[in-house]
Amino acid sequence: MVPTRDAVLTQLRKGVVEYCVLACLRSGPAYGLELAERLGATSTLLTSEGTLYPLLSRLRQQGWVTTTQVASPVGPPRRYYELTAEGRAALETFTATWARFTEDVRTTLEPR
Amino acid sequence: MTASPAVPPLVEAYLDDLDRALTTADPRERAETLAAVREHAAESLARYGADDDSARRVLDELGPVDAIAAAATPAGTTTAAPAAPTPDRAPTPAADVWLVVLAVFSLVTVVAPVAAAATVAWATVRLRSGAGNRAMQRLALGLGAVALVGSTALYVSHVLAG
Repeated sequence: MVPTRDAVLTQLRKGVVEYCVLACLRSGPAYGLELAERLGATSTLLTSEGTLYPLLSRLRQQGWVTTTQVASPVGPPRRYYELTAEGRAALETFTATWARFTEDVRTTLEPR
Repeated sequence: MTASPAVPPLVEAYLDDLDRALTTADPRERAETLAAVREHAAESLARYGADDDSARRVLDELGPVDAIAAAATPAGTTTAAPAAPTPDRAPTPAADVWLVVLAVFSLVTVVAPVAAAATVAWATVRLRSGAGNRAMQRLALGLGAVALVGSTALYVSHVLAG
C-alpha cells in the first residue's frame, strides 16, 4: 500500500515538531497564538493550530518550558511559554543530531 | 488563578466538543489544552472581532477537535513528553574488551612478544575499520606497542648477554 502525503507527514512530525516549538522559543518567550504564527499557519509542521497545545502541555510537564500569565493590551491575559535551561540543552542536542541525520537522508535520497 | 476569558457561543460549543474529545486524554494535558485553546480563541477574537464570521475563521484555524485530541497523550501513559535526547553512546563491542585484555596480558607478561605483536596488529585493524570503541582500541594499541618494544629489548639484551 502506498502511503498518502498526510500519512507520511504524520510520521515525519513525530519527534520533530516539539523541537521546532523549542526553536521558536529560542529568541524569547511567546504566547500560544504567537507561537502558532511563528510555526506558520500554512507550513506542514502542524496539522492545525489547535494541535500545538497538547504538545506545549507535554513540554511543560517535561520541564522544557515554563508558563507565565501576563496581562495583554488587546484581550485576556496571555500564557507565555519560555524555554528552560533543560529545554535549551535538549534543543542543542537535537539540532546537532538533526544536521547529520538530514544530510544522510538527503544523500541517500538523491538519484545516483 | 485567572478567570477563563469569555468567548461567543459558537466557540463555547467548540470548547465543549473539545472537552468531550479529550475525555481519554491525560487529565492535566486535557485541562491545560482546554485552557490554552480558550485563550488562543479569545486572543484571536480580540484581534479580529467577535462576530460569527471571525469565530468561524478562528475555529477553522484551530482545526477539528478530533485532530487536537489525536495529538494528546492518552490517560495512563507514563511518557508525558518526548524523551530527552542523549548523545549517541553505542555499547562497547566484546572484541574491543578482549583487545584490551590481550594488551594488558602482553604488557604484564612482557616476555610474550607474539601476544604484543598480535595486539598491535589487531588494534590497528580495529581502528582502521572505524567500528567499535576507538578509545579502547587506541589504549590497546599503546599498551601493545609498549609491550612489543619491551619484549624486543628484553630479547636483544638476553642475546647480547649470552
